[in-house]
Amino acid sequence: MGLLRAEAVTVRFGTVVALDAVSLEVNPGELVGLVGPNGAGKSVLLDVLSGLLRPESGRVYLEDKDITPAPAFWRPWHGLTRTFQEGRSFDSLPVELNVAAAACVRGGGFLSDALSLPWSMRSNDESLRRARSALELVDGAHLWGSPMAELKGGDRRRVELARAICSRPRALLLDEPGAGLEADALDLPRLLLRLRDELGMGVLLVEHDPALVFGVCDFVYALDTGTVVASGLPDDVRAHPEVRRSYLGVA
Amino acid sequence: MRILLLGLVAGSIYSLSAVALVLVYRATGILNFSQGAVGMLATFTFIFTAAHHPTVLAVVFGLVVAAALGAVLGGLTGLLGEHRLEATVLTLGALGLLQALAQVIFGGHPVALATNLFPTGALRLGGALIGTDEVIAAVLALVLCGAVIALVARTPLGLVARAVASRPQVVASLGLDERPVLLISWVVASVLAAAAGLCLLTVQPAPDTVSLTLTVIESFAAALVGRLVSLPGALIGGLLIGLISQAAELGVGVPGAGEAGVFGAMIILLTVLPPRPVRGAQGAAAAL
Amino acid sequence: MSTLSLSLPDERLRRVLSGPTLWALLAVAAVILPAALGPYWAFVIGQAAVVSIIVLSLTLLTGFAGQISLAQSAFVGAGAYTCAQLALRLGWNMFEALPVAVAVGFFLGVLVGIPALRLRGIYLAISTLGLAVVADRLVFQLPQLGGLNGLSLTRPRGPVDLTSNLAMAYACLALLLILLLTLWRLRDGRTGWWLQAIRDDERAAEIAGVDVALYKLLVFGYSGAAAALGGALLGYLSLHLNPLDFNALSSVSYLALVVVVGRRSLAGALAGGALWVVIPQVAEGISRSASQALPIALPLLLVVGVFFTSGRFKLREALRLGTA
Repeated sequence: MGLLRAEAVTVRFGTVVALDAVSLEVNPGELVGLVGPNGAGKSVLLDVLSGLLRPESGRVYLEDKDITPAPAFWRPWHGLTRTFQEGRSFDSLPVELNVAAAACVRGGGFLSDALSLPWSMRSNDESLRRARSALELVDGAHLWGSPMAELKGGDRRRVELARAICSRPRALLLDEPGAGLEADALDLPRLLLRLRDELGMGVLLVEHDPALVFGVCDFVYALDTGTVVASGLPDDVRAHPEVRRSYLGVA
Repeated sequence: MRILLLGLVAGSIYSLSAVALVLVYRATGILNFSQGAVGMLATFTFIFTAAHHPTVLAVVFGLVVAAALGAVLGGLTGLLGEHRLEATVLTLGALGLLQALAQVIFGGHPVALATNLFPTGALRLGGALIGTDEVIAAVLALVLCGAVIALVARTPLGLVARAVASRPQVVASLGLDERPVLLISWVVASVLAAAAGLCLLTVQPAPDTVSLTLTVIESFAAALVGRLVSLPGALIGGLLIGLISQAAELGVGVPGAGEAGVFGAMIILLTVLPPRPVRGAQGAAAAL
Repeated sequence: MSTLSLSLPDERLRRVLSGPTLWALLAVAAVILPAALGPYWAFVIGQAAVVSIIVLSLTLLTGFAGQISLAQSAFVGAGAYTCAQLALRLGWNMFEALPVAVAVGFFLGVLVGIPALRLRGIYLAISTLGLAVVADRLVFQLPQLGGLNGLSLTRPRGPVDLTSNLAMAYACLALLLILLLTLWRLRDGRTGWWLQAIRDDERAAEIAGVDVALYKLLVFGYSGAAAALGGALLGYLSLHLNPLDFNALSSVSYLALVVVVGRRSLAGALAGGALWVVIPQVAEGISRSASQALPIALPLLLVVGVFFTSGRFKLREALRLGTA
């Protein structure tokens, strides 16, 4: 009974098979790594898990509930969020609103906001509270009030991370959170361990940096050209001949 | 039958302006909202000049006006470089500006043509009457389309134009400057738009500035058949849109039904045949 | 569509015009001027208020949510003609017809929003322009809607007597105020955050839990409703509906206006309404082509403005360097 489970997910783009019956599981309080060369299908898998892509076949389960048909915007409200490899943010909103927008607090809509009805105001306040808490968790509290344009790469990712955890998801998908950043821009190992230990999240970490993945993860999947070539404890996967050839050889 | 003939005549003219629209879009990624307005200004220049001067002179003058406007637009949008959306908004502004200028210069009422551009007369085809001038205009429009298609496909200039359209980075890395090609595209497209406007006089001898300006919508719908990048597609699209427009207008009988038909076709085409993104311009469908 | 940015007017206007003193001054002016300047100017002020309402419909749609629309003229006309038809066929007065017109505007807005879910940027622009043309050429010229002669409207006598220009101007200003307040609250609340998120990055907004499709439909709906409100008031203000007032090209003017005054700025919308009535008044003093002053000035400002987007591209730089 896992937290997040992909079962035999297949994705085709025309004649190209991006994912071939891929199965994967993340348990609560577990850091799961997903490694593989470029083009292996890692981001495609994240797209399927987060609802941005419908698989041709296969299913996705969140706490044993089949969420395969659920739209992308439904998932954060039920405990599943993600970040993007290229780092996405709402550039015209200040940091705190970037995060608060994803707080997933049940509350008002168009009319109740326009009329400033009490439950709308309350839900907005709660969203901002959650945003502050999320920023603190990623060591970003000092960014409150800044416009996004002033932020450097590491801090932008920090804000995106805060946005992803603002709704206190149980499952978090991270797509190469360190991509394009300098080595110490974001203290990823510490943040990841905090998410796992303090918040009890199940995290699926797609990463290119082998040191990070094999150093910090509890379980690792290795993906190559759409299939899982190895899975298991980090040391076992690292030693696997397929993995050494296709991934570590190029890394 | 008359619907068919009129549809083909109007359609050929739409083909011409669609080809012009595609020429610019392929090369620059910009949708020229003001193309109809340029054609309109050229046509009105012709009408007013022809009232007091030889017809040939009036035609030349009109085409020159169009070429000049095309060059200005090409230059202005070129200054905006890669900001294609801003450039498209610029053409939107140009649409409004040219339209308002035309109202000031030429007055707001429809103007009747003093002399005819093409020989008049009537032909009987398949049991229906059609004006000789309309047929000549249609044939001319189609010939011009064919000429442009052949030019792009066969000549060295056309080769560079195609290269600029599909692989601009390659063109740049070869040390070739694409700007003359872009400018030529703008000028040629504007002249074609002017020609289309002049041909349209056979169908609509007393045009008003607004309806000519808004032909850009028919041109766009027609160009959609070629996904905004195919010249032969634009040609076919023009004929198709012409037929739909006439069928709707004459069939339903209510004025304005033609526009509704074109609009319906446009929406269907946008859904079924989304435009091909060019040079970083956005595609039509949702990216999710 | 998030790249259309004339943020220089945005930033400057916002800084200058967001102070409470300015709003207080405006409020005082709004109360005093119509009465002080006489019925002609009360009419003009009413016009400015109505245009501000129409601009606000675009502020909501284009400024907040980043959706481009050239169909506002269709919504404006729909609001006006709904009221006229209700008056003609059912004898309803303004207070009864106005809510219906607003509802019709909302419904039409949502309808336009549906294809907008799949279209972006320039394709949405030209589709909405096509719609405006259909409304202009087909719908508003139907004989049932008065054809080219148009329709008339009368101002109500009860429960509130709005027959004088002064009273009507105050009514328009009051509705403008209500709309301003609601948009202000909207922008600062979660709906505003979500609309701006949609504007900035739709994919990321989806991932953040925003039902992008629903909110796009809603924002089109409310935008249509606001534009229809403007149209209805326009009808009751000028007392006669002419299809020429709702022509497709006026949509281009409205969009140009909202982009020029700062499409995210609420105060800018007021400036837009003022510009719309002031430019012809000034032009009338200068030459007889006053009627074209606005259609010329607005696109011209738009074209010039496109070159002055701060942080993106500076015309001066380009001239110095000789290339883009």
